[in-house]
Amino acid sequence: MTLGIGALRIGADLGSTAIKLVIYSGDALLWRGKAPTAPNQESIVRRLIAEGLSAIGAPEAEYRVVATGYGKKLYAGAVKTVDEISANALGLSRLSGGAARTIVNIGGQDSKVIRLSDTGRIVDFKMNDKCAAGTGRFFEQAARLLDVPLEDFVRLGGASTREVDINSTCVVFAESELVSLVAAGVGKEDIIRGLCASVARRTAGLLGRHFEEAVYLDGGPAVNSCLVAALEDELATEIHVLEAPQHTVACGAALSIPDSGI
Amino acid sequence: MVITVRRLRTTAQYVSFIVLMYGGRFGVNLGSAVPCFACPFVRGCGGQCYLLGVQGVLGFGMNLESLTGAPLFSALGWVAVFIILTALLGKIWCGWVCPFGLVQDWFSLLRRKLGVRERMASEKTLRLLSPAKYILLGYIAVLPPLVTVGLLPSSFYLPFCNICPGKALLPLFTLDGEYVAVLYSTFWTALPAVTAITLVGMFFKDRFFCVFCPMLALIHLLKPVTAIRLLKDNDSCVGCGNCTRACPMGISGVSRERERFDVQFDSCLDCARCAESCPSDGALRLNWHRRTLFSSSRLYASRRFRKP
Amino acid sequence: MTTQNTPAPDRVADRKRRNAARIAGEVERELQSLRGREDRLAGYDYFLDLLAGGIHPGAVERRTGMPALNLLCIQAPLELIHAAGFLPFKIFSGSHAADALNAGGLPALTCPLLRSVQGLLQFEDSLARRPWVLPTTCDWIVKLPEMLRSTCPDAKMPDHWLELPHLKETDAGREHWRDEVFRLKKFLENASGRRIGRKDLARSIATYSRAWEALSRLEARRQAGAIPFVWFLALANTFFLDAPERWTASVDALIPTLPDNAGRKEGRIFFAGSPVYFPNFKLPRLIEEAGIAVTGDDLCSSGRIFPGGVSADAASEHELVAALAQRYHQGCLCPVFADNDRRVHNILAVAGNFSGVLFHVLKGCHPYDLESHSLENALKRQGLKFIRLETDYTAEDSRNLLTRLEAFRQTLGEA
Repeated sequence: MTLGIGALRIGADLGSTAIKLVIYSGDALLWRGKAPTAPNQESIVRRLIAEGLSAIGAPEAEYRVVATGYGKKLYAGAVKTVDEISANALGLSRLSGGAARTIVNIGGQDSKVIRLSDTGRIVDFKMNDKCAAGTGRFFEQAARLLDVPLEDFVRLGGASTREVDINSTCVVFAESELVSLVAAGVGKEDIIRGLCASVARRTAGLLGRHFEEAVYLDGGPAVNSCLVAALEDELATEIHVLEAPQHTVACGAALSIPDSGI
Repeated sequence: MVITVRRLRTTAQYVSFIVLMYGGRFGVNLGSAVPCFACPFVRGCGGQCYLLGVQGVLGFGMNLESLTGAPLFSALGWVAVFIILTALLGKIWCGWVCPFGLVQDWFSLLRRKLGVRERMASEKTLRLLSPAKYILLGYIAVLPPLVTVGLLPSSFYLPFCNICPGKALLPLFTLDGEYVAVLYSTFWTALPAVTAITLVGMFFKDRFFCVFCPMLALIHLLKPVTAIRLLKDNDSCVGCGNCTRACPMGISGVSRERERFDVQFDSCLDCARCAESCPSDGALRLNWHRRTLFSSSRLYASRRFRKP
Repeated sequence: MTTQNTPAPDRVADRKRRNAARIAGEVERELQSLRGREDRLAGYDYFLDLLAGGIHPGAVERRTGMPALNLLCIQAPLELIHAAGFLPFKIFSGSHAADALNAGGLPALTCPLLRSVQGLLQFEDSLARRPWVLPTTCDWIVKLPEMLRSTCPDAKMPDHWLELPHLKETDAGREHWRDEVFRLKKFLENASGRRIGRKDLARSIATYSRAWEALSRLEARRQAGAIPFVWFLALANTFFLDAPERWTASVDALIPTLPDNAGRKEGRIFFAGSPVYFPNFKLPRLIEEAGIAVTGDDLCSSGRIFPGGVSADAASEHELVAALAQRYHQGCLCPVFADNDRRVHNILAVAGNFSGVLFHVLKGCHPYDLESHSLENALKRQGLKFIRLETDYTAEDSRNLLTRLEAFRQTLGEA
């Protein structure tokens, strides 16, 4: 593989929970990686870049980084920054081959709905208020309370036989509700399914009744097929999830760099 | 000096006053079909109120002999001139030209200087009085033909002039005592009473006489052919009522209207004071044909109110 | 056994002093930030000094030598108050420190502006010493005296209620309001001990008309992009902090010094919704940071701070008062009225000159919140970009807001 000057396009998404990084050459995705968000985000980004470059066998290659996410201003090496809504729209629109009209993004502490035109432009978007209810943070909290690793949510949720009604999507107030359900002897798999349904209801509320197909879900929690199924039930439509849904925003940031460099 | 609508209007009123009241002395004659109170009883006037022509043609003039030949052509000619003049300027004749209008404005000015409250200006009263001008127009249309067919004596052939307060007041501006004395000796007994009421009325109510003016009614009936329009952008209007308060005729419809584009109501004088005082950009426009002569603007209105 | 908590008076005084210092610190930080701006002009200094001098009727009285009269909202005719020899002082507060003082005794979703005002009043005896006129606009205002009873026991009921008819298109509503304004005139005459004559009224109307003329000229320059939103807000916020003549003269002096440069044309938006008050300039700042220029607004704290331009050719006392009543009621674009069509239409008409509309909702500010949804639909039907931001006086949602604003900026650029 030959890499021209400035050919590598790197997108760094400095989110509230994880920092996601993708490396593109032209339109080809070469590498993606992530690390949990921690203080000194700049060094985490640098480490991810180094890791990625050596993984693709081009540790000395020239590259340009576009940063996005809440921490985008914290990485000084970026040639530009782009807001995560625009990055998400661009990334998902390209990755879906232009099929996406509605994006539902559930991130670490917020959720967004983005409506796209047929040319992939943002028509409209909505974002939850400062409250983190029904976001990735809620699942993390629930995992901690149930003492189940997040990775096992899908497996357990899929095994559920009945749905428990859970009202709360609030990170703080879900605790007492979960504790009493566990105490009442409700199975963890049913609770997990109930949690997914509750988040799906809240997300559907943000989306409203009028949306265009195709609907894509991305962000960290999108890997949770239990949540996807719940959202499909709630919206009565098919929800598409791409491979590595946590990285679509980073991809959008990378793809916002013109191919010829800036 | 900034050119404002107010200054233009005032200038137009004074120039018209001089031309129509004294123009004849300098050989100016705008003819017999002037669409405002250019009183023919003012010796040396520069044009004649068409209401005289209307009464003349319908009454004394329209006997069977004169229905043919030159008098007929002359009468029809003046009809045409009247329609053309009205079509061109609409009620600009009332708000900007009419000499009797200016006299009434002086009385309003006096009232304001004295700080006396305007009376008879409530919406209800004005709504009640709005048919009066058409009734007077009907009176003009009905009485003279009765003279023609012999049902009324010939002294009724100018039934309106004989009760018109303009006839009593405007000739005073000739400053010719002898002439005025002779003129006053020919008055109907009703005229002094009407004049007295008008004098009091125009002190207490802006443009008091215009409420009853048959010329205003006549011009309004010709509205479909006139070029002047007062238009409103209902979306921009905030409903503040500045227009109504600035309106000498107290028309509340301009402010209250929510749907109609055309807000030139029947008692409108086209004086444009409403548009001048409107604080919303482009909410009120005075148009000539499709050309906008003046469009309301916040900056214009803000300059208008600075003086106490 | 429990004992009633009766803290030592010196510790209470100490706490009060600390809180006052926190509020003052907030004001000072915002002032520093304004003073440090690159686009600061010498002409802005007068307004900054007013803000620095304290947002308090006492400060205004010292400055002008006129007794202040406390007001809330924009429906009491300023000219009438001024004609009685009072300086109208609109109570407002954008202080988060004052807002936070009060969270305890009030409903969870209390309007932050009113909560902050109540917090501020704990440090001011302004309501006890000065006449206080309150129009019945939104529920928060109507209930303010009741809420104040717990937070500021010294505050009495307002000295005068102005009952605002929420129907302004009906004869009954209009007539009732006119009567209310005549009643206000009587109250003012009693409070000041002098009769309000037609010459006083004409003079005050002329004074405020001059102020309105200056504001209108400023507005025209702002729409051309010559004044950043933050500065425009700061200027408008000072309107009640000095004699109107001096404020007017300072605006007149500022206008010729404004840059001719109109800046770039794209990304200009209209700001509508709940008011923005000093020192809470969080949102205007974030808007700037996102690269958006606000060149028009509909705020009762800014563009609509007073109606102005009262056509008053009629010169009798009765007509002047009636004119003021009509102008302040029928022409009022506050969303509290039951008949809100004119307001919505007006925003639709005005917004056509901008790339988009940002609608600000203070959490708990129901009148604006309620209309934001129908307005959103109407504006989008016109093809205009729209963003609704609901926030309060806290800073914790800044990043969330900024993300939305940046994305909004992107959608404007594409338009």
